[in-house]
Amino acid sequence: MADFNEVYAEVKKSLVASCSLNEEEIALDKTLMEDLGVDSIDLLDLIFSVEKKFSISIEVGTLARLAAEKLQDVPFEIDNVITDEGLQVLKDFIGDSQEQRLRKGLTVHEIPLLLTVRSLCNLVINRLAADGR
Amino acid sequence: MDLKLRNKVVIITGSTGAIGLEICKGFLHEGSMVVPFYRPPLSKLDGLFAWGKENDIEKSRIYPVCVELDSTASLQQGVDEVYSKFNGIDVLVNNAGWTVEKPFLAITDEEWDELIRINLTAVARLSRLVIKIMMERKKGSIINISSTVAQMFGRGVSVYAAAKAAVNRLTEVLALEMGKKGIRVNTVCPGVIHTPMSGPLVDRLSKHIFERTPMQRIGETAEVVPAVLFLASEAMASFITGQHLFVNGGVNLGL
Repeated sequence: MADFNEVYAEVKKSLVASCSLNEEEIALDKTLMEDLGVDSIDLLDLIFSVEKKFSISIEVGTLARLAAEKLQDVPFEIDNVITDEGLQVLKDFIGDSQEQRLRKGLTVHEIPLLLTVRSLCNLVINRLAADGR
Repeated sequence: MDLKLRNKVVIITGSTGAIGLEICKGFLHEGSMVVPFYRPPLSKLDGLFAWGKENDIEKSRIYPVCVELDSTASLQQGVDEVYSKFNGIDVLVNNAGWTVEKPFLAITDEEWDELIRINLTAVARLSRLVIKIMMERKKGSIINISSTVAQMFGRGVSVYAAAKAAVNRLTEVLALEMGKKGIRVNTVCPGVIHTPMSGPLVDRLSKHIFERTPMQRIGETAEVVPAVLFLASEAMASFITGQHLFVNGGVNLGL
């Protein structure tokens, strides 16, 4: 399994290059969009950079798909609103520090707002593991 | 004047058409690596290779890639091939386009779909693939060859006019989105230019066109090229994005 700190170091470099951030302002539990001010274009640039760096593919909706897979037969969302079980699984990806953001009524479209630096690192590790790396 | 386009990697669609061929020559003249996207047979590029030989252009600076513009898979394959060969793309010229002259009420669904696919959808899809690569270097220039009919005239070419108007707006929105990534997106909007495609129009309406055009003549393909080179050049146009450069003898002034 990939080493979290090594992945974090590379993700941090991508954040600096793609989103014009200073290394000092980046922290694991900061959300990309709200805390770090990454806009949608920067987010895509960041994802492209991370995809290339690790030779992985992160499609739009990957986080929701992974969470749904983990739940198996239990629904992740109903009419785009994330279920209680779905919120619990998302917490594993996003980290405890963002628990307050995982409120009832959260929709699938709001998931990108939850992305933290940590959850991006976890996503990378998950994709690498899927490729047996 | 050095446009600093030497060794820049330039993809040009519609490279076997009259204007496309001249654009290829223009970039080769500036020392760029020219990647004509073409539909088979390759012999359609014989004229370009012959011109290159006559003008001492190294053959290796022309790297044709066979692409079907209406297939995203083919576009992806073409862009991947260019990326693996040159490790980057500096300029994209979306030049491919065509029209049929028919009243709107006589246009079939099939003609509508095909004209939109080539004149608009292919521009969007290829731009999306190339922008992803340009974002790595935080620079690049996209030039969409639009038309004066995007803004005016266009009787008998309704689909073409609608598609080109959409290309103009797409250009503006892409410029808005990609500006912070150092990618410039502009159009060149030719008026009536002497080409095989405009032949019937010119034959029929040249008197009317002359009357409406301050410069009182039809344009030549070579006159479109400097506008494209200018917008492609970081040395010349580094702060120009989201703009439409009309090459039409002033016909849009509305005489």
